[in-house]
Parts: sequence; structure tokens; C-alpha cells
Amino acid sequence: MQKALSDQEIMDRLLDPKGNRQAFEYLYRQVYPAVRKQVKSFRGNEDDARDVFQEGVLALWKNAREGRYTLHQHTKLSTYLIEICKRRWMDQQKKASTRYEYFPETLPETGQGDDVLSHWIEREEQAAFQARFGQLGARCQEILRRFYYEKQSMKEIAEAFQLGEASAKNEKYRCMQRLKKLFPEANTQP
Amino acid sequence: MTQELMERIDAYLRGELSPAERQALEAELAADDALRVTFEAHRQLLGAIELEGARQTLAAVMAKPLPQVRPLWARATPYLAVAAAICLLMVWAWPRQTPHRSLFETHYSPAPGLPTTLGETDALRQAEGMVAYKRGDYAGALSYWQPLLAQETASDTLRFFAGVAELGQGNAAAAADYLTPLTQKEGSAYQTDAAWYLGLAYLKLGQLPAARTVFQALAADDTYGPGASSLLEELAE
Repeated sequence: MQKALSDQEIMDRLLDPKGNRQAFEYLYRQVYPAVRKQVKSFRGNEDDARDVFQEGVLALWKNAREGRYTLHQHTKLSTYLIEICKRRWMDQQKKASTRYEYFPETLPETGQGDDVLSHWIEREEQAAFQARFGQLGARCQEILRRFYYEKQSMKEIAEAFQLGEASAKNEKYRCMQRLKKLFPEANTQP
Repeated sequence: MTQELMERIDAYLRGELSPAERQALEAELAADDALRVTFEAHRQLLGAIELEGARQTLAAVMAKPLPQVRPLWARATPYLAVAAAICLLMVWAWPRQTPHRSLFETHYSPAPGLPTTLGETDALRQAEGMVAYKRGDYAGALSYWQPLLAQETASDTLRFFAGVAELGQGNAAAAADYLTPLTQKEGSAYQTDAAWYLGLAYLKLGQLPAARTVFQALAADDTYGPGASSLLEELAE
């Protein structure tokens, strides 16, 4: 049986790249069923629920890391996540159909307004990056993911790829150059 | 962007620069607009890589099916098993806590009833009670016999069977009330039989010294001697 995590423990894991998986697993097991129920009660299906839950968790992850979401003593993190997912789904429904009867609801009090909602990661934007990132090849993706997401040191990456540290640094640089070429808008000098 | 600059910016964003190196880079950023644009573009790209890493991790987590929520009875099964184990333990432990009760159950069997062809006064009532007694309907038997037992003239036979019937339905104290006078009545045909059942009644009541006294007196009896001796040995244990 999975150990129950307090909100603070979930936050700690969201902020620590090595703890992300555990936080995501916990939220998926404990919160997703409630989100799915909410989405289905508002005419959504399983895929809709998974999409909106993924968006909600990533928004929470990003905003927690950037300091825009902090714990509030009167609102459980799970309650907040369920509510923002529900509202996200209702917003999408509202945009998709003018026939949909929309009931604006008040978010649980977090002391932060609805900051998280204003910092959703747009699915199209994320999908576009995902597609370009995928063009890099598995090895480059893995090096960049380890360094920038998992915060591994170049020494650890070099050992994982059985390279010298200098070679690993050179390879990482080349991978970043290739990625930037896939994003002309990000190509700047010097 | 040169490799050296990228590594400096990466180290800055990871908090790996010394204070002096950090201040130096911040001074360059403040003085160079182009460098600041490059820095910001790089930072945004890193943010996108981080987000992609989180998305991949979350997608991997969500690729696994959620564990099925088991129905209540299934979730309760471990607890029911524990409860059942406790009950079994209690059943197992019960005779150890009250060995005399176990001994009573082992040794008690009702006295065989009498033939129902009695031709005395009130014979019909006594006979109907005996039919009920032999069916194991001790309450029914006693209800037939109560009016007769209230009479001073009630026979030893009736008192004996009334005592055994009370014991049969678990009323050991009432049984002792009927049986005790019979055990003290020299020459009664039921003296020894009454003593045996009185001993069992004491056993059921947990009055072990009294039970021992009764069984010791029966130890030499041809009929009840072996049972009484066996009981005394078990009580000694």
C-alpha cells in the first residue's frame, strides 16, 4: 500500500526532480479518480479526463517550482488540483460549445487567487515543443533531460554514457545547438 | 552562443557559480542587451526541456493502469481474517481459561429417562414430562413437573430428573438445589446418581473445591468411580 503523503511532502517532491515521479504517482492514484469523476459528470470521457489531469499536474508542478503556487493551510493540495482541473475542463467546454451551460464557480481559497489558472501550459505549445524535441534523437534527448530536468551533474552523465567529462560537455553543447536550430525564434547571437 | 558562455549561464541558473563569478555575469547582463536576450532565450528553452522531462515522467506514470478499487468486502477481508483469527483464538483459549467448563461438557450426559408407563397419581403429568425430557426438551419437562415438584411429596425420582433437566438447560445452581438434598438422603436410590450430577453442577459453576469433594466421595463407586477419578486427575492438571 502506498504511503500517504502530506501536502508538504507532495510539494517537496514536486520541487525535487528526484521526487517528481513519486509525487506524480501519488497524485495519479489519489487525485485522478476524483478528476475523472468530475470530468465525466460534465460530459467528458476518459481521454478528456487524462488530458485535463495531465495539464493540471504540469501546471501545478511548474507554478510550484516558480513560486506561484504555495500551500495554503485551509485548502488541501488535492482539493485545489481537482478544482482547477474541473474549471479547466469547463472552460474548454465553454469555448467548444456555446450551448454548454457554464456555471462559474469559486475556486477554493488559496490566498493566491487563480494564479495557476493564468499559467496553464497550453497543450498546443507543449505539443509543438515535444515534436521538435523528438527530432533530436534519443541520445541527445536523454543527455539534455538528465542535465536540465533531472539536474544530474556532467560527471554523472559522463559516467552513464561511458564518456570522459569533457566529451560529455561537448556532446551536450552540440545537442543544444541542434535543438536551437529547430527553434529559429530562439536563435540569437552571440 | 559559445560553449563557454552556455556553460557559464547553465552554472549560473543551477546556482553553481561562486559569488564573484555570479556578480561578474550579472554585471555583464546588466551592461549588454544582446547578452540579456540570449540569456533569456536560453532560459526559456531550458524551461521547456524541464517541462518536457516532467511531462514524460508523468506520462510514464499515467501509462500504468490505476489499481482497481476493490469492493468493500474485499478490502475488509484482511480485517475479517484478523477478526476470525481472534475468534478462533478465543475459542481455543476459552477452555484453558475455564477448564472446569470444558470438563463439564466432556463428562455431562443426561441421565436416561424412565419408562413412561407409571401408574401412580399424577403419573400422566410425570410421564408427559419424561417424554419431553427424553426428547431433550428440558424446559418442557420441567413445566410438566413444576406442579408436582411444589408438593412435599414429590418423589426422589422426580427431583433427580428435575435436577438433571436443569443442568441440561444450563441452570447449574437450580440443579444443585434439587440434587443436594438427594445426596444427603441415606438410602435414596438416587443418592449416588445425584452426587455425580451435583459434582458436574459444581464444575459448571466453577466451584472446584466442592466439585473435588463430591468426586472424591464417588471415586470408589463402581458406576461413577472411573469418571470421578478421571475428573479429579484433570482438575489437578
